[in-house]
Formats: sequence, structure tokens, C-alpha cells
Amino acid sequence: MKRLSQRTLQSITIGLIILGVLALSLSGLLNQIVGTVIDPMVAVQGWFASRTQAIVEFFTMPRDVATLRQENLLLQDQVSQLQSELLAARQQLTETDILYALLDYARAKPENKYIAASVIGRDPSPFMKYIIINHGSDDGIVKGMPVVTQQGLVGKVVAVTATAARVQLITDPGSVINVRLEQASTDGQVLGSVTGDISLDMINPGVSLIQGDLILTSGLGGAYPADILIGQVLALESPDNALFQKASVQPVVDFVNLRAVLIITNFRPVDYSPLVP
Amino acid sequence: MGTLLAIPIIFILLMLQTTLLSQVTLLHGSVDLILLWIAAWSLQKQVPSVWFWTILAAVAVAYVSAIPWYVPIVCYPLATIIAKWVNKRVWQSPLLMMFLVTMITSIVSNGLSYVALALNGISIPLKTGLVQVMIPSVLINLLVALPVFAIARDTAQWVYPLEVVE
Repeated sequence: MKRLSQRTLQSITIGLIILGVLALSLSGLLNQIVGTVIDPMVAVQGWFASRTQAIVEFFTMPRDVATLRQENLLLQDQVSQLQSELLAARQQLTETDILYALLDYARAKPENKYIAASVIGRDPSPFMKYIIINHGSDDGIVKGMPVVTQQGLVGKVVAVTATAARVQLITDPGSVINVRLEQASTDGQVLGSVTGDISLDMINPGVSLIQGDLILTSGLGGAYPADILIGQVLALESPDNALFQKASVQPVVDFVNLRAVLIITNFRPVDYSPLVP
Repeated sequence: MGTLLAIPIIFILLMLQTTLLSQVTLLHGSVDLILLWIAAWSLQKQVPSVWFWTILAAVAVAYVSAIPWYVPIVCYPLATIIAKWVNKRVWQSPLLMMFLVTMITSIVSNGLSYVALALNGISIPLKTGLVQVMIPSVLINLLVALPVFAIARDTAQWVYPLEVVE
């Protein structure tokens, strides 16, 4: 009886303690008490964990640095590769833009047949203004074919191999092109020079030249088709008592940055040399 | 081996000349890399096959360029002759020799180009040709002569190593 009453008393005590703890917990007072006890323990735990982590890092860091360096190298390689791919893509985009412009030009003049070619070199001599293109007789290119861009006249093919051709630019000192002026309605000649500038010559002194007048091929002589744009009259040079008027010309084609051209393949130049006495 | 090396080297030089160096200009003059190489190569005493290099370079340039064919055919062997002649007289002053040969051959090459074009009916005003093309070309050739000579000398020592006299 005595043992039973003691057990009962213990159970009641435990039950009361549990109820008390529950009551404290429900009332929120337990958090304060627990916090007072737990916080120092957490602080100690944190201090211990940080020291433990430091010790672990001390032993494992060299391996991590090596791994990181390796990853860094891989990433640098990837960045370099992506940068080179980006450059290539930009290059292709530029080339595509040029080709689209050439295509637009070709579509605008469907009476002609064209072959697009890339400029792969320039003449080694500083006296000569020639370019080398990457299409030749295998592609149906023959000597004398006119070469243009979407902007205007570039020159003509003067030498051909199986896979390449040499093009004389209109800026070459040996280049002479028969032209007509759109507004002035007169004929003349455009001459190249060793400096790469082009000039208008053989203009009748009675004609009034207009600055900005468009210069187009006249088709006379049979070397070029008619009505291909060459440039604009830039500045007039008409010395007194001169037989003909002259003018400097602003070409429409940028010959310095020439990268792709169109060859007009259905035009055959007229060889009138047998008619020359 | 050294003789056969002429083919790739002249080919590479010609590619460099037509793609890159023809666009690097001083006024309207440009460097003649192949002429400089032939001059520098001819100044290397240990090189036995200079004439093969010279003829190959002359034929290659005559084929690629629109300049009358006889200009490189005359100028390049002339550069070799002048280099060999100078080599015998200017003892142990290789840089001086290179500059001398470069200047003489550049003047001759540009002068001959001018005359050849005039003979072909392409008249270039003398003052324009001189100021815009010839003098700048000679100057730019002189500028590039030194690195070309250094590369040619190293190449010659690699291909034809000099025997050490004990």
C-alpha cells in the first residue's frame, strides 16, 4: 500500500511536471527559460563548429585550390573558345550583310547574270591597283567581264586562272572608262591614278559641269555595260585655255575595304582592235 | 632541304604581301617583302642556293602581279647581284649591308616599275610618282629591312648552321 501510494505520488508528480511544462510552453514562458539555457550552448556549439571547419579546411583546402584552378583553366578555355566563336560569328555576319547587299543588287538588275566572289588579295606593286578574286575560268569567268558591287563599278577582269582572277580597278593608273554625266548629259572619260583617286576628263568645255552630278558608264567602246554608277563630280578643274574640262570624282565604291564583288558573266566586251587601222 | 624550303617560304611571303602588307602603306608606297627577303637571304654567306630562291621569287611575283613581267625578273636577280657584291666589300657590317642593299634595290625596283609603266603607255606624273609612291616605298622598305634581315639570318643559321672553327 505504501509502495503503491509512492508510485502514485511519483506518477502524479511527473504528470504535474509535464502539465506544468506544457502550460509554460503554451503560455510562451518556456521559450525564455529554454533560451536562457540554450543560447550559451548554441554559442559554444557555433564556436566549436567554426574551429572544426577551420581545421577541416586546413586539411582539405590544397585539394580544393587545385580543383578550383583546374576549373578556372577550363572556364578560361571555354571563354576563349566562345570569344573566338563570337568573333567568327561577327565576321560571318559582316560577310552575310555584304552578300545580302550584293544579292539585293543582283535582284534589282535581273537582266544580268552574276557570280559573287571574295577578294583574296591585292597587287604586290604599289603602282598597280588590282585585286585578286577567288573565282576563275572553272566558274565561267573570262577576261573582260565587268566587276561591280551593290554600290557601283569596281573594274574588269584582266587575267584568269582556273580558280582565281585578277581584276583591274577603276582606280588603276591604266584604267580609262567612257562615261556619261546624268544631269549634264554629256560624255567623258574617268581615269585612274597612282594615288587611287579617279578623275573626270575629256569633257566638252561648253558644257557646264555640276558638282554632285552622277557619273555612269556610257557603254561606248564596249568594255563596260551602260548605266553602271561610278561616282559623283566632286570638284571642277577647268584651267583657262584648256581643251577639255576636268573634275575630281568621288567614287561610290569603297576600294580600301572591298571584300566581295559581283562579276557580270553575261556581258562580253567588244574587241574592236581589228577595226583600228 | 634548304633549297626546297624556298617554295613554302616564298609562297608564305607572297601571301603576306598580297593580303596584309599591300594594305599597310606609307602615303601610297608599300613594302616589298619578297625583295627584302631576297636581299637579306643573299647577304647570308652560308646559303648556297640563293639563285634558286631569287628566280623562284621573281617568277612568282611576275605571275601574281600586274606589273610588266620583266620588272621582277630584272629587279630580284639585280638585288641578289648587288647583295653579293656588297657582301664582299663591306666586311662584317651586316646591318649596314642590308640597309645599303635595300635602299639601292628599292630605288631600282620602283624606278624600273615607273619606266615600265611609261613604256606601256601608262603615264604617271613624275612628281606624284616620286612623292606618293617611290620615296615612301623606299622608306618603308628601310623600316622593315631590319626585322626581315634578323629573321633571314636566324633562318639561314637554322637551315645551314655554321661550322665552329676550333
